[in-house]
Amino acid sequence: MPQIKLQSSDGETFAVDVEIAKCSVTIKTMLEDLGMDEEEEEVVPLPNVNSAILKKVIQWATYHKDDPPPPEDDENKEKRTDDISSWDADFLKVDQGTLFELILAANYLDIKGLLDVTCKTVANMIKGKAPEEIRKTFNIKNDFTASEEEQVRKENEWCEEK
Amino acid sequence: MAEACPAERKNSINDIINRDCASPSPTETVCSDVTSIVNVPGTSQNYLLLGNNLGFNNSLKNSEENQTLVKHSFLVRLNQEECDDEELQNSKTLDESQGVESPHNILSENDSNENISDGSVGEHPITPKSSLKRANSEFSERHWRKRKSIVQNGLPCKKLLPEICRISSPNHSFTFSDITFKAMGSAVSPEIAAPPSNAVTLSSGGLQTTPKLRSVIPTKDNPPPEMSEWLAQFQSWSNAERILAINELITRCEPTQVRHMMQVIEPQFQRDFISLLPRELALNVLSFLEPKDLLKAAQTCRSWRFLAEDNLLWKEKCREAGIDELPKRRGSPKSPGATSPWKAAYMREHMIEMNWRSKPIKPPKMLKGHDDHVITCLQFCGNRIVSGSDDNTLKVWNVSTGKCLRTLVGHTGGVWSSQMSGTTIISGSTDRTLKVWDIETGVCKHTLCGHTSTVRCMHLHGNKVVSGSRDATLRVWNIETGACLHVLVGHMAAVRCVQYDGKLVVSGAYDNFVKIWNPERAECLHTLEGHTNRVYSLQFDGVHVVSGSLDTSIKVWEVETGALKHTLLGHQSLTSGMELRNNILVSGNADSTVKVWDTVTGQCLQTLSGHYKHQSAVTCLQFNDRFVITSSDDGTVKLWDVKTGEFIRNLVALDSGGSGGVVWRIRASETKLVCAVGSRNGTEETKLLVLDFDVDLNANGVKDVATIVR
Repeated sequence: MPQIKLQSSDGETFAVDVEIAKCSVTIKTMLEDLGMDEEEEEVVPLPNVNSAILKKVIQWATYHKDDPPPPEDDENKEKRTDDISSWDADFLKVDQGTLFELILAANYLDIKGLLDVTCKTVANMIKGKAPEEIRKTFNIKNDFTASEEEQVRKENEWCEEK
Repeated sequence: MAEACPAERKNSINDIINRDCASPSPTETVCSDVTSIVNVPGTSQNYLLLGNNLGFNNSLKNSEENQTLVKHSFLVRLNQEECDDEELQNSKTLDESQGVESPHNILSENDSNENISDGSVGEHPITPKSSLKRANSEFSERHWRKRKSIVQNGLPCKKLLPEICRISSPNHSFTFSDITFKAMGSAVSPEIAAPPSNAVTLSSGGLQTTPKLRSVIPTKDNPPPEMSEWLAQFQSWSNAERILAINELITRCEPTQVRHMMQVIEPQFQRDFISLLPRELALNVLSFLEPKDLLKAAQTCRSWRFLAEDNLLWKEKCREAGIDELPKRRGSPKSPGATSPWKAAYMREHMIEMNWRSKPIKPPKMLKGHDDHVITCLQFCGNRIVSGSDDNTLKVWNVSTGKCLRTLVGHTGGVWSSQMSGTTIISGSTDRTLKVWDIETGVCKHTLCGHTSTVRCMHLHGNKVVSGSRDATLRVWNIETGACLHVLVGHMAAVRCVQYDGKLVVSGAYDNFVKIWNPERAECLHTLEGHTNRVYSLQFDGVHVVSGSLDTSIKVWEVETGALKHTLLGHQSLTSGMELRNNILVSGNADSTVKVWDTVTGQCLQTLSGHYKHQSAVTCLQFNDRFVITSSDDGTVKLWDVKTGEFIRNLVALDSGGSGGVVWRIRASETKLVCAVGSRNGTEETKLLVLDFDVDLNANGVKDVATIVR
């Protein structure tokens, strides 16, 4: 299988099957636009992704290489977060810093599946938490004044069924 | 490092982490916090230091009046300390061989350090910490030299045994360490936590004579002098060397220090995703949250609030909830808090749902009329209600005020059917006529004559109305001109129900047949045979015809072929009322139950019965995506969850229910419910009840103008 080399921001290169690399729309477009000859073994520089993250991304893409392409138009699909596969859930058991960089990388490389599953993971970290618990989870400083906080609380009161 | 006292170690650890960490923003906040931890009460980690200070201060208070004495005793003790250094060195070896550093030692050491440093500022008894920097440079040089020598000699930082700093006064005799332990054991009381500046008074002056002693609890502003070299060394190493050094460092740390490290390091692996990610990515994350969680997220901080108010985000949430357009706000100012109109729309919808479901029901408006007659038909559109009665009249009501605007008089027999469109109402009567009225003027525009018996049912579409009569015929009328366009002949008994979609007419009759007609050609296209008793109710969505009969069955037919698709079995009696929307059929039956069906599969999805079921025949029903509302001869109106089939609550329960009071008809809008109630035996006066489920206060406690439209 033809391979290409991906170079991370810190200079490490990774040889990857072209088909796997192409799950990144960014790389796919790059290869098509530049008409890169797969034989030439050219190095694709990825200045926005460091080697640790690139390694993770390649790991994800390799596992998901046979996934059906994501539906073009999922505008009307309900947004769910309970459909993360157990492999993905395991794969994303990382610290917040890594998760953060994975989101940026998935966005930069335009890998919709990875972007979705990482964003869902963050959403799950927010779900069902009280504001103070959310602050604790993400180390957020409460920068509301007391009166602002009261106002915001009123505005965002969720009316529950008794 | 192994030589430094615990506080210094902690300080150094903070510094290392600071210097070694590449990530910018979280680190900065974290580290400034952590530095202050050393001085500020509140965490278990700094308790050690805090406790020391407190104990010390407390002792000062007690002994203030005996300053001289204390000073004196200090001098003595401190001089003694000089020679104790060597003893200590020995005892340290002993300690280390045991592998344990007793807390006693750590504490007393810090106490004495504080003492001595305060002493160094001499003439300024009350000196804020910052001014310590300006202290006699000669002293500090000497003092530093002393520190260096201590380190070079491999001297441990704990120099004083508890008993060394014993203070004697006429009233009190105790050691610092005693007090310290007391302070640590008890919660930090405000009295104890006096500012450290008080402490300075005690040892002022007296200690100038012992300048060689080391100073001060280490802080970021006042690190151990060797630390910068130590850190510079660290920074000069390669990554691998640093990692090695850190590993070695950790193995040399005590558990409390490692724990402290964790506390410093942990937040560095946290990321405020929503604030730090590019806006569109943050919004992508938020788009996976349910509205409830978005509201919680908005309360965390300003930047989250800003994003969680995003209008397109809420438009999406509205779309998911089936809210496709913004409510028209007539001249109402935007409510102050909600910046997103879609969020406001969502919140309004949600509050209305909660008002239906669980909020206390406001006392209904009572619209009394028609004396003790029966209300046979009910129309509700916009701000108008029109009730038809067997007293030969119709009444037009203003929904907001509850006032009867006019009574439509003209029929010479009871009114048994009606249709409404805009300001036009059409009524059918036992006097064999239909009348077309303008409800705003009360003028009868046309009287439609032709039927030879009671007009029992009708259906309006556009400007044409189709009427069904006991004379077994149907007639198609133009309500603009009053002309009879077609007569549909074929049924062999009274026509009881009719549906018209502008193209086809479907009729059900007491001859047990359902017929499909082409009205233009007055032609019967199909006769649907199958019911074994009178057909009482019909629904028609252009594809399927659903018929309810006294034979207890409901049948689903294909309009195109006239073929029977399903027979829905389960009811015990007459299906008197049905509603069909998006292939979901809800049927109300005289057996006092209501059923929800899938007309495509023919399956019964829910039966609205159980403990809270109606006690008598179901008279009327209406449903939407969430609720089914049903009324009954038992005098109640009930609310059910259409998806789960669960009973939610009674919206109306007449006191006379069970003794004659009945609910004949109901009509509901998104926010209002109109019920026609009364009795045949005088227990309940005939009237309309109007229940309001609208929001009249928005989230900010401001009157929502949109809800008080005239």
